[in-house]
Amino acid sequence: MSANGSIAIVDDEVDVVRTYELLFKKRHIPVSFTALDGPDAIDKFKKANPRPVVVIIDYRLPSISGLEVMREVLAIEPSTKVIFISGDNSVRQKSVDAGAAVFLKKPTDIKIITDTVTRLMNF
Amino acid sequence: MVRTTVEMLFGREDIYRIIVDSAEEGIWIADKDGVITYVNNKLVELLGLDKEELIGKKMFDFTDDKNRAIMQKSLEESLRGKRDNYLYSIRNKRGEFIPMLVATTPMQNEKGVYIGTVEFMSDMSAQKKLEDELLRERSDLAKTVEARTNELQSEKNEAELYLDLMGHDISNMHHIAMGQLEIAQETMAETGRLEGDEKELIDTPLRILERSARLIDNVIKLQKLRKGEFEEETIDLCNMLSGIVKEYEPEVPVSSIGFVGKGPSCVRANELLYDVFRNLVGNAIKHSYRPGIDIDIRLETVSEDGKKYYKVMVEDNGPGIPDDMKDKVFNRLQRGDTTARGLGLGLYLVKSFVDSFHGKVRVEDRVTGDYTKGSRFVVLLPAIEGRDVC
Repeated sequence: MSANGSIAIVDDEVDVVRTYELLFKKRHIPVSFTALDGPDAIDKFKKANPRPVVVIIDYRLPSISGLEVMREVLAIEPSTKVIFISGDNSVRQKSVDAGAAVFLKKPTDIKIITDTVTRLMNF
Repeated sequence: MVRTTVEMLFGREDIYRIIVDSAEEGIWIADKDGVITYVNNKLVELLGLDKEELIGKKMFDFTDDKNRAIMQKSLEESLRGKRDNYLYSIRNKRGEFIPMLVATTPMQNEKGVYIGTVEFMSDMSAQKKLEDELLRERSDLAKTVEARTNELQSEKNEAELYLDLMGHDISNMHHIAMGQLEIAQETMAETGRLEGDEKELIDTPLRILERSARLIDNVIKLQKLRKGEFEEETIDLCNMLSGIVKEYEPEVPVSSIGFVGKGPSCVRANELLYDVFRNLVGNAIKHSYRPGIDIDIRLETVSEDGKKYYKVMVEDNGPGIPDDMKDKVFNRLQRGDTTARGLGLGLYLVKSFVDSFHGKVRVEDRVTGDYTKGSRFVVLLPAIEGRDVC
């Protein structure tokens, strides 16, 4: 599978981040950066060159929420495709209204994650 | 002037006296200084005082400061020629205050000069009693409603906690375990085996499932605690802490955990006290920087708010907790759409358990004013003093 550009991962759970890293390594999708909290994610996104095409953002993060991180990311680079992810389905509409390209509910199987990332990268 | 038949029979003054003495209201007449010049039979009956005990005294002598002000006003308004109604209490012979509805009427002589005031008093004791009963009932009802509201709020909080655990923690754990097992399955299908680092694809889901089992176990403990299903006993805190240190020592480099404390240090608690300190020491190990784990546990006796406590301090050299997070780390439900990294149900349980032992728990900076140098978790438990053995 070929990928256009890279992906970034924002989740406060180390094991979740590691799972995505293993998955994208297997799919040959380059990971631009990973971040365990919002401020770190925004900082790394600003510095990334080139910027990741897709960013996976978890809803619940320390200090600032995933929604805030997504708004910041989209303000910096509006063409970014955000996959917003949460175990709480009630966040779906809020995330889409705030600019998420896709909402995924945890737990999600790797096929859905792979298909979604591939589709957004080749869009 | 035309005289009526009754007036011809009794005389005008007699008629007035008959009316006044047979009235259902108490009546007194006072001069402009408030000196009582007349009382009727009903007022004598109401107050249980003789006429001689009333006449010549000031009306203010039969009340207290609060009512005196109203009485004074009634007199002044009457002096200005104004009729009005007042509510004040008068003290009877037994010293009890009788609430009276008082109608005042100014009295003038034939030349129109003010000579005093007539006050008609209706005993309001029955109404006041009824009013007090209503107020008491209303207050009892308000207390019942408040208690039930608190109960419902606590049940709602608990339901929200379980929803949150399922929506966030359990979903996250399933997300990790499912994801890594699917990758393992795919790898196995491709190569027929897992090699080197790929073994983590089995190890991580196993570890995550253990965490999930612990979480369920903790939820059950929390429910049992709420139902009061744990039996209290006297526990030697010093002995317990030594045991926990020994238990963790094999997991960390030699001399990473220090413990200073003297026993016996007896407290009333139950088996959950072990979870409190196992949780705190486990957290300290988890969050300490590596290499160079540096954990200090100290047990002291202190006095706070006039009570003796055993104070246990668990210090780590981890990244610390900023001031604005210090209270939040114990309260799982206040986290909203943000979360504290690495904090599951653990510290919420610690607080719930310590609260149930009538203790206190807080987190401080290991180095005052610099949270980045590590945390100090402080637990205070009411001390049972004077015991040689717990």
